[in-house]
Amino acid sequence: MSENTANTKNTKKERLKQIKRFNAKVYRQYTKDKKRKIPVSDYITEMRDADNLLEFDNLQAYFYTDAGTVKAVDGVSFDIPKGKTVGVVGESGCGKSVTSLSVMRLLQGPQGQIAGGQIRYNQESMQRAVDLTKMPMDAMQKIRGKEIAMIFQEPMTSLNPVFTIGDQLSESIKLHFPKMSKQEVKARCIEMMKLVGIARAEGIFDNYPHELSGGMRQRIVIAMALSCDPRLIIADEPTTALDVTIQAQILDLLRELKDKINASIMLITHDLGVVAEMADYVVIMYAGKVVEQGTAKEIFHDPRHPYTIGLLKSRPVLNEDVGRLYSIPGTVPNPIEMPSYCYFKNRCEKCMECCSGEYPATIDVTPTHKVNCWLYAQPSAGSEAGR
Amino acid sequence: MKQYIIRRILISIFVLFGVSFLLYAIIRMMPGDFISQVTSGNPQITEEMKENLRALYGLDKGIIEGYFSWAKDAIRGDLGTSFVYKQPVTQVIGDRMWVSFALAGTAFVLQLLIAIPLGVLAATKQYSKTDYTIVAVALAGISLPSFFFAAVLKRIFAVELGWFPLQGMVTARADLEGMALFLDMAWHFVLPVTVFVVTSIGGLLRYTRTNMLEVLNADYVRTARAKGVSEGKVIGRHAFRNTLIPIVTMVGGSLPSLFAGAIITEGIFSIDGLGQTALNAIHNGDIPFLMGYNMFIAILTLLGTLIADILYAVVDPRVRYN
Repeated sequence: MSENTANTKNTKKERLKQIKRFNAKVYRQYTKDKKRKIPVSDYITEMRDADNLLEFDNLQAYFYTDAGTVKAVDGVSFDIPKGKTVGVVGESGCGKSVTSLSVMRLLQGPQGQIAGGQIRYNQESMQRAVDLTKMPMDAMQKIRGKEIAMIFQEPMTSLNPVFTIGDQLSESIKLHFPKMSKQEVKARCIEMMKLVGIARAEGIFDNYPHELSGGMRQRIVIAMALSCDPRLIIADEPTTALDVTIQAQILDLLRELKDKINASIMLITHDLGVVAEMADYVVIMYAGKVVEQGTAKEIFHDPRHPYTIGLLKSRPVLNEDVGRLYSIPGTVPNPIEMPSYCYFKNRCEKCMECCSGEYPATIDVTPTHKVNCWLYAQPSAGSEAGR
Repeated sequence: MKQYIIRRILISIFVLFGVSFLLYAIIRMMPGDFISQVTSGNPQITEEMKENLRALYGLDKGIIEGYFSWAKDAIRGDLGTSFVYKQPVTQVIGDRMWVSFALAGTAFVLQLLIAIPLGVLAATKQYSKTDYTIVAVALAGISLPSFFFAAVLKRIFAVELGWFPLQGMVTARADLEGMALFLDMAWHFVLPVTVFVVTSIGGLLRYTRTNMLEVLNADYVRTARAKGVSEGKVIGRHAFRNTLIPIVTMVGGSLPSLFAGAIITEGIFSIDGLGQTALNAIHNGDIPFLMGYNMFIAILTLLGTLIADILYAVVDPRVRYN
């Protein structure tokens, strides 16, 4: 008995050691790659569809932790068409934010890295398509803030406490439009602040972040993201930290601005109401993978994946007498030891025998509607189990 | 801000009174006063003569009475005459203060110039060989006792290699002036300054590194990166300004140590600074000097915290004193 426990202890120790060695190797490779000079030909690529602004193709983003490799994003593929809003939905920890950070190449290295796949970006300003995952940092810095801008979810901590609002707003404008004079930059900042609905823009220009409320700060963060007329706005739960009245205002604002500068939006949220209101396309993520995607209409009116159906069932609906809100049973599997079968199997109400097999392939329900579920593997079974 | 400073200074005066009384009481309670020190081993001195001497030096009064007579003079700026040096205390402190300051000040500037950039470098290259090396050297520095390290340095560089003098501040019997004197003193200061820097660099370095690591993970640093700011500017502007906040408080608080002298290092290198003088004064029961010296440190400490508070408001816009 005691020998047995000692044995398991030893193997556990051995495994941790192995992980450490493996991580050290990965970290070394990471620093080596960082120093390498990357030729332009390495990251030039072709868009699959010229109408898309961004294409995720089998994106993998891993975190190499002391406990093992966490596959936070594991093979995500979807498109963001020009001028459209794509809502990415899923519960906490499903890899939504990591996907968006990968676009900006903001994963905290050397632990967090893009392990594989492509993020193709249609760089119209230079009439080429580039693979963001392979881009060198100096080229990336020209895209960040100017062509792809990000709105973060934490307004209270996203602004630097020691610089004034004006400093922080003008920084990206100065950076991306070096020819602008000081007055022009300031005028642009004030214009942006007015655009996001800040009344006392001139006064706030010289204020520090701590002197503003959360809603105001979120507006500043949005103004900052929009200040260089980006082609793509990544909004990572832009309204989570705000109260409901401000939420509605901010969403209206985003939609208005999007039309004004004709940008695409990647809207990350776990709020289905927000998605229904804003998105043209919806991507449902679960445990680092896309389980279903389609137009907003298809997802809300004809959901296929049991997880999507569960999500839609678990939101409160007005004017309906429900005793207790539905909740999907069980929890997300341990991210370090993901099973080889469907990740949703243990929580699924429609689980079948074949679900214990390999991970389900992507099935096209319509040209735009895709789902990863065994229920729809055979065309005959699809029509029966659809409802 | 002005109001805050005035209030702080007023409070400081009360603190100084309390401190001075406690110090006086403790010093007077030390066994063996100045008279018994100078007369010990001399059989011709009678008890009566000793009593007369005590009255002459003002040691016949009680603690309370003695304190008030000291305080009465001290308020008027007269700290009395040192028993040992037979000179006004202010003059004794004034003479030696600058020696200690030259030593500690040079070491302090070097320490800042080395520790902060290395700390930042280690943080930005976390998990790299550079990081591990810097942290290991810093730890070794913290762990080295100054007397041991000083002895090793003296052995290697003064005795065996003969590059630097063994001790003292100037070359004996060499009548140097001007630049030559300055260079000679600088030559004598190399080893003591090295001891200071190596043994004290680790604390600040690790402090800088920890703070920088924390700041580099902050959301606003990610925001700066997302704006397209270059990595150098992210670290040098956005992150470093925030790292400065805790460092400034730490640096402001080290003002007294710049002037107070270092007893061990000064002793080992026979440098005639305040630290060694103070140790000597304790041995001899030199009450006026000890009181003057301790009050000097007390004032510097209060001043140091005040300066740290003011600097805090300068680097952190969130702090405003009203």
